[in-house]
Amino acid sequence: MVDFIILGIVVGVSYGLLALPLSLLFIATGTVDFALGAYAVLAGLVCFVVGGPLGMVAGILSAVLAASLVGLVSRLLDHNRRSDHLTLVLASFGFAIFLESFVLSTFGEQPYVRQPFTDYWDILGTRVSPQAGVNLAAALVVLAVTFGLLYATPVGRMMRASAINPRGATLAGIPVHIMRASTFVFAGLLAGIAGVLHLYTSGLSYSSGMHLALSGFGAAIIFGLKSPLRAFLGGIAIGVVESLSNGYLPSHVATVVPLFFIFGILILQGTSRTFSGGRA
Amino acid sequence: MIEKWSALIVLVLAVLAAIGMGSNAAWLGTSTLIAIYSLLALSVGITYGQAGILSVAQGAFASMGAYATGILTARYGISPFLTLPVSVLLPALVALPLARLVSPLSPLVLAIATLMFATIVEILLRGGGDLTGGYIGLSGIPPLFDAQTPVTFNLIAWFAVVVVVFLYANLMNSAWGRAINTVRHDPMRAVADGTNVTRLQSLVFTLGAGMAGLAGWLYAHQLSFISPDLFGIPVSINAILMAVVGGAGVILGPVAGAVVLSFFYEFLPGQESRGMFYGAALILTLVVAPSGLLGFTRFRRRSPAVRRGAVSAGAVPGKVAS
Amino acid sequence: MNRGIVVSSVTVRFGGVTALSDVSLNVQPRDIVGVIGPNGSGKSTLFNAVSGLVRPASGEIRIDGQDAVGVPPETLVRQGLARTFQTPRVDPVLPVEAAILCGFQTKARQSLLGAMLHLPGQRREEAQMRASCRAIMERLGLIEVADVPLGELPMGQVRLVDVARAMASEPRYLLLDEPAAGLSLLEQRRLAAAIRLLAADGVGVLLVEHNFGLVGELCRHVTVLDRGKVLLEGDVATVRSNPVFLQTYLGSHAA
Repeated sequence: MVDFIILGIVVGVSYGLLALPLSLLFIATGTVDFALGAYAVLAGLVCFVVGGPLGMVAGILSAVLAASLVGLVSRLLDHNRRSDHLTLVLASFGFAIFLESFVLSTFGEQPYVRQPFTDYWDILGTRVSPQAGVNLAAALVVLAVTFGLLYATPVGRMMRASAINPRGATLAGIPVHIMRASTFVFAGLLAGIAGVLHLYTSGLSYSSGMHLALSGFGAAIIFGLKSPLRAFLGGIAIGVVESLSNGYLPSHVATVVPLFFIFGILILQGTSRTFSGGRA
Repeated sequence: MIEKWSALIVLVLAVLAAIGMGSNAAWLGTSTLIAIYSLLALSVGITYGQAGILSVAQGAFASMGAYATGILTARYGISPFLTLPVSVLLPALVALPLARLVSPLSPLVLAIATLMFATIVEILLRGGGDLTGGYIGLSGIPPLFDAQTPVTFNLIAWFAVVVVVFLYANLMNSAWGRAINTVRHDPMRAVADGTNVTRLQSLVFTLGAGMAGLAGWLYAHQLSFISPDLFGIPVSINAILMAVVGGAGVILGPVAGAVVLSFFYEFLPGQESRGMFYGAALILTLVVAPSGLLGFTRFRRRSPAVRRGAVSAGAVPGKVAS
Repeated sequence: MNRGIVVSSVTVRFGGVTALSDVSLNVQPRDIVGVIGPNGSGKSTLFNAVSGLVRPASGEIRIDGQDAVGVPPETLVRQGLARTFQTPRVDPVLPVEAAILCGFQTKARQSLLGAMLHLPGQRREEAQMRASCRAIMERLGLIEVADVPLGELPMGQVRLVDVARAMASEPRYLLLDEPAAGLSLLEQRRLAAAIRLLAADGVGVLLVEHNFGLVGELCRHVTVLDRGKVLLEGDVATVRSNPVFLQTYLGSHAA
């Protein structure tokens, strides 16, 4: 039992790392980016091909670049009066397809993985790769930096202000569009880090993007999209559910359980929401 | 409005194309596939383009239709024409309670919920053991009738498109259609018209699932074998792509999108680079022509001079994601 | 049976905040009843409570004797309670006629299948709706703009379209949410004429307004809300000359 929970936390951290940028984006722009999983894949594979510490930088930079492109597209879509939140979702679908195909034609079909650690740690009788420790440490640093940025710097204040009330923020002289664009870039940075960590943990292939995005969404949604911390914790919760069902249930059932878990929570949220009035 | 004549337009064009193609097997195969994809894209058109529900589960609904007829005809020897209603009704009956559950969600969360649902269906088909044939899928699905040729099958597929377009266009030109469009634009406004928003959205979602089921039925009998990855999320996204590129809010938009993208697909060099083209096409459409290739047919714009004091781009839809 | 919209001692709370406290109101057929008050006085909350969007914590709302509390808003519309919006919620590309046709939802009887197969019954119903739609447009003077997209009309006419859309359901009661906001004096006149026409047909009208102007012109009875409570009520002339009203309300809106 304990060993499955520990394993679950290890996996959950990587989901949480993707849920974090999703939640940030949702707060800042009211929409989500389905291509986040694809950024992570791009970052991981670029990192592998370039190699070494330089590879990590190159990988993360490539994800940032890709995310900036989507930021740019969202800016273009804002010019269209007809566009709503779903339009950007569609565009991010398009970008995810684009990136997946780009990665496939550049890096091929095979999975890429890098596992530098050969020995294991023994935690409460569970064999855990030191990579898990690295992941957790990296996640905590990222979380701390994100919160520091959001709540202790003027940029973070401006970001939150433009998210809560874009019109008011514009009137207060905050460059809302720049804030939104930088959220996309920052989300790309986080997705890039997640991708590199994935390369060093379970590996990546061109088609991992959708699965990563899906896990990230599930994570971000179950405890509420509006809080980055809760989104991160959601990732860990899903990791634990996944690990427990893998441990105790037959394999073909185990893969559906986390999905049912997320799906069930979504529906509970839907049915408990009451129609609130206010100014019509 | 030209939309009323949608079914007739498809009928004429399909007949002309059929005459032009003669018995060229490769062309007939492509044409049939376009018809099947048109049905799937039309199901996106009615749910997303008209009612504003973005469903990423249309491939999953098609898989239900395909597996229903596949299992019944290949295993139990039932006539494909008897399984047709099953293939349409099964996905619809699954969609109805599902829609009731997910329609209170915000549009964004709803899209993600359908994505989860589609993944669940795919996994269940893989793990279905002997019933669904697992990873390998089902083979030995009989043709619709003994004398079936690529020519007759192509005609049947396009006949199905004509029938669906006919029903769909009539629906959208009725009070039902007006209510559906109001719900997409502004649910609060629809409530004030006396529309039960949840019920109507569920109904449209159900209709879309039935249309996708029909596409699955045709697909199963065209290929004679089916497997879970023929109906995965990429297929659903492809259908969305076709609908949006052609114009999801226009009745014939999805059909136009299916035709155009399938033609490009035929001429594209590599399998790998297809996604780059598709993705770029989608983004380009959204930025340059958000209402799609056929978007110009909807409402003609009158005098370009907008008078002073005109209403701005409408109120914000009542639902807010959280 | 008790006719009319009867609101008795309704209290609405949002969390710990009491938005409306012990408010009563009576709208009879043919009546035009006004509710005025400054921002935050609770008039929007009252409007939402009557139209079914907000559930009162206590008190009673009855429409023609039937309990209306907890009834979904669309059901209330079907029972004959139409409303307009303070900011008309319109699709700017929709032409006037198409927008008003959307108001006939409660009149539509065709089954889904009937509509899809374009059966004779459907055709007849559609023709009827279009005929009534033209009749309404003629009455409100909208016929010459029937094909103009709403996004290109001035606000005054958009409001009239909103009223026309509400009329389409042949309501017994019509709730108007600040219909005069942003209208020129001439536009207000045309709107007032349309509302009088409705009342003469037997419709009970509840007019929620920020300013006294339109209310003073149309209503016999007026209720003044302030901070969620009824400050004053009575016929227009009495309220207008009441010193409390002059001091607390017109004090900031001296006309």
